[in-house]
Order: sequence, then C-alpha cells, then structure tokens
Amino acid sequence: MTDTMTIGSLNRFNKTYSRRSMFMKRFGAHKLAVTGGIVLIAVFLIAAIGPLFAGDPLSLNPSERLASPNLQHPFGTDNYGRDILARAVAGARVSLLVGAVTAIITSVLGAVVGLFAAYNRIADAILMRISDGLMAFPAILLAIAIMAAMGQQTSNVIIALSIVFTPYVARIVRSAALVAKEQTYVEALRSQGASLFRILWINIFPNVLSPLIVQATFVFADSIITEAALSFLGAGVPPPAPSWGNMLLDGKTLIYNAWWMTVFPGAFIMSTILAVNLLGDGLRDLLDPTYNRRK
Amino acid sequence: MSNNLLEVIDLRTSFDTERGNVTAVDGVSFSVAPGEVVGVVGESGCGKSVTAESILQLLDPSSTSYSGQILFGGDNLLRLSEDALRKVRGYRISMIFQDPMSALNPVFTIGDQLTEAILAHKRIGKRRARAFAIELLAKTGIPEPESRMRQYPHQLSGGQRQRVMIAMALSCDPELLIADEPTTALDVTTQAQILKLLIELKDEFDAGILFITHDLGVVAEICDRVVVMYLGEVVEYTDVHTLFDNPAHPYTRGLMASTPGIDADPEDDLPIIPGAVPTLHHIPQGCRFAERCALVLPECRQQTIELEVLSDDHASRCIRSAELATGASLSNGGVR
Repeated sequence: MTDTMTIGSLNRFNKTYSRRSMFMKRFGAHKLAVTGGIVLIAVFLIAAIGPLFAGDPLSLNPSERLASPNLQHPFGTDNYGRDILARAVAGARVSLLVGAVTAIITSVLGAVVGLFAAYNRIADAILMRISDGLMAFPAILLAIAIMAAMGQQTSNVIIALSIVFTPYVARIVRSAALVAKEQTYVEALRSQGASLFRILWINIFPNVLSPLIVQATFVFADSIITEAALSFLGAGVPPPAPSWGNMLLDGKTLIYNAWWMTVFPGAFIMSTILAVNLLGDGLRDLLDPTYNRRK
Repeated sequence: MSNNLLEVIDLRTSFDTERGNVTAVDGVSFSVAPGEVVGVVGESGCGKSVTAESILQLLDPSSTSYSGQILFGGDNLLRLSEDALRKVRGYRISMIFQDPMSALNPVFTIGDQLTEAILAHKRIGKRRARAFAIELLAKTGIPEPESRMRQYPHQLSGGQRQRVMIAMALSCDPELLIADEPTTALDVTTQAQILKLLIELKDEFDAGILFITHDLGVVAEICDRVVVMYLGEVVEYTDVHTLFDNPAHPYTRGLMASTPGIDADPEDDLPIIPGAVPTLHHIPQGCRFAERCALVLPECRQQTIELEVLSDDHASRCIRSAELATGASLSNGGVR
C-alpha cells in the first residue's frame, strides 16, 4: 500500500517536472521573452523593495527645487523639491498594482463571460452586444467617464480599466472555446454523460488557457499605459501620491527647464511596457504548438 | 414487450437551418437485440450518423427536433429529461467516434481522461479507478498500458487512440455500443484489428452494437443484420446473408457493384452509382433514389414508395423489389 502510493506520487512528480522543464527549456531559447521577463522582474523588485532605500516620495524640500541629477538626487528633483527617483520607484508600485490586478480581474471575468457566451446562444447574443458597445468607445474615454462618475481613487482606476478591458479577453476566450467545442472530444464527453459544467470548466477551459494567458499579458501592458494616460490627464491616481502618469503631468510645463522630470518616468513606462509586450509575444509563440515547426 | 435491446420506431430528426427546416432522418425504424451487431450502411449524407446521434440526442438541442420513439430498456429515450438521459449516456449506451484524432482532449493525459470517465460513472476511489483504467487499456490490446497512461493523445497513433476510446466506452459495461464509423480513419490492418477487438469485447461484455459504416466489406465481416439508408430513409433492411445473396433494392445493388472484388480486373472501370446524394433541401418527389437508379420506371417518380415487406426479416423500399429479390438481372428498357 505504502509502496504503490510512493510510486504513484513519484510518477506524478516526474510528469509535471518533465512538462515544466520542457517549457522552461523552450522559454530559455526565446531570447526576447527572456529579456522581457528579466526586465519585468527587475521592475517588480524595484517596486517591492525600492521604496525602502529611495527615500520619501512626498517630502518637500523648497531649497532644492528643480535640482538637476546629482549624487544626492540621481534623477534630480521636481518643482517642489521632491526626489524624482523616490517618486518613480513609488510610482512603479501603483503602475504594477493597477496592471496586475486589472489583468487578473479581466482574466477571470473574461473567462467566465467568454465560456458562457460560447455555450449559450441567448447569453452570447446579449453579452457580445454589450461588449461590442463597450469596445466601440475608446478605452481612455470610457475610463475617464467611469472615473468621473465614481471619483478619483486608485481602486476606481482598477474598476474602470477592468470594465474597459474585459470585453477584449472575453472575445478571445469565446472564439477559442467555439473552436474547442466543435471538437469530437466534446461530443464524446457528452456521449459519456458528462454534465455541461464538467465539459465547460474541466475540459474546454484548459484548452483556452494559452490564448487567455497571452491576452492577460497584453491587458497588463495596456492597463499600465492607460493608467499613465489617465493620470496624465488628471483623471487617474490622485496627487500627491506619485504615479508615472501624474509625474509626466507635473513635468509637462517645465519640460524645457527640467527635462529629468519627464524623461525618467517616461523611461520607466517605456521599458516596463516593452518588457511586458516582449514577454507576451514570447508566450504567444511558445504556447502555439505550431511555432516550433514554423521556425 | 419484445426482447430487443433497442427499438427505434419511426424516428424523424429535423434541423432548423438558415435555408429552412430539413429532415435528415425520415421515419427510420430498426431494432438491435442483445449480443447482435446491426450495421447501418449508406453514402455520406444519408443520415447514418444523425441516426446514431439521435439515439443519445447529442445534436445541438436548440436547432434539432425529434419525433417517433426510441425504446431502450422500457423507456422512450426521446421522452427522458436531460438528467435522466445523462444517466443513460455512458452508463448504458456508449459511443465511439469516427475521428480518433480529435476524440480525446489534447490537454489531458490518457490516464487522466480514462480515470475521469470511470470516476464519473462508478463510485470507486481514485487509485482503484486508475488500476481499472490500466486493466481496460490492457484489454483493448494497448502495449505497456502503465506508461501509456502518462502520455498525451498526440503521442499515440490513430489505432491506439481508437483503442483508448473503446476502453473509455467500455468503462461502465454498456448494454449497447454505438460505433460511428470507428475504422474509417484507420488503415486497413488497424481496421481489421479494431473490428476483431470489437467482436471479442462484444462477446465478453454481451453488448449489442449499432455499427455505422459506409464500407460493405466491414458489414460482411462483423454485422448480423443490416439497415441500408438513403437520403434519410431506410431503403432495405435484412440479415447480412440475404443482403449479400439477394439484395432487393437497386441502391444496395449499386453499392455492392461499386465495391471492388479481390479477383476484379484492375484494367476494368469500377461501376459507380451516377450522380450524388441530393441535398436535404431538394428531396425529389416519389422514389428518392430515382434520379440515380439504373432500373427506374416512370411510376417511380409519381408515388411515394413505401417499405415493402418481402419476407419475415427482409424489407425493401422499391416497387421492383419482388423482381429484384429473385436475383434476375433487370434493366429499365432505356427509360430515364
């Protein structure tokens, strides 16, 4: 009894180990994806532990207003004498929080809506028309409207972005599920007496996971950009809390006097988005079973 | 109450399509006794698969309507609720499919899928279900079943996948096995092995088999009785010996003539049935086969042709059945 159990659990371990190691090997060979992953991890580390070293992003120091980059303030200071490095690092927290939470919420909602729509014609008609309507608005405009209605708070930014991006995820999941449900194995499952729940969530869901993961990374990047744009327009994360977007806003009027106020937060946004997109592109290639043959 | 396992009476299956309502199966009746193999034969588009799928009502419920009766174990399956029907699917009637390549979920291992099917039907523990799955795989002749359990569908050949499907279908001792062209996608050697396996397992489990195929060679090999279908209707219904000795419908004759024999001269052209099966949107008046029939008479197009009973277990839907059953070689005297 104990013996068979050990063998069973060993087998299980071997199986998952080999599958994972195979994926990691292919991932390692995809240089762009690795670059994106490393940069993204670096940004996450900066956001996680950076604020411990970078000082207070809110402390004002009128005597050091608009100091250009120097030893004490490597990225310079802004028009209130606040340290740009400290603010950029604190802003990374806000951006990554908004991006990650939005990606998770839209993935869950999008998966539920997409799978449900793929399996029920009436629900499909209703849900897809709603998402058509949402997609017809430019994301930024819809987000501004939602923020205006609900008030300026970081949590409301996340809610607004989730509403804006869920339709995109739901569309992808729906189309992947529509393909999957026409496969013979779904009919075979029905002929075996499987319930709709089992077919949908246990058997079809893993088949739509790859496009869902890829789409989630793009939502992650898009939410960071849109959050920055919202904050830049003054409708995002409320000041004085720093975010990359409202740092750009602060720097806008002084761009000819203090280039460091716009360049550093801009560089953070650009490198983070580039990293996420590279990672997303890589995942899309790696999760596509025909990719290896194409190469 | 007869001793038939399955009795299909006047089954009619129709679909709502964008171009109107079509009846894919039109008044089909037949029966399957325990331990018997009944073949359903016909060209593509004759309604064979729809008949099979109607029995378990696997077609899209929003656009399909059924009428008639499907009697199984005293119940009319068409009257059962979806929940009650699920208790029949997989428990008492199992099905294997034409395309073993896509009949298994690509993201799970063979073992996970087999175990899932067993656990869904039997109240046993996970470890016993796994052991049972290995036993079933061994029974279907898969070498090294323990290591196959950990493999994914794409790592198996078509024949092996079909064996896995058969193992899955047999996992809960079904009384009836519906095989929808199970060997069509396989090469001839594998086909012979699968057929042999099905017969062995049928004897072991004492199940009835409804065997859908377009291959008369397969019919001759494993079926006891045969239903020949054309454009949604049964055109001939008899035991396998009578069918091959005295086919009483021109369509059956045409199908047989277009099967190459082992001693046929490869230089000769194979006889064919001219034309193609009409679409369900344009069902001809009178005999549905008249357009393509070599023996057509003017009367054929004027009346609805009924299934004519020729003997105890032989019926044919042709006004010239009696002449044909004598084995005489007929012509239509040049009428078209």
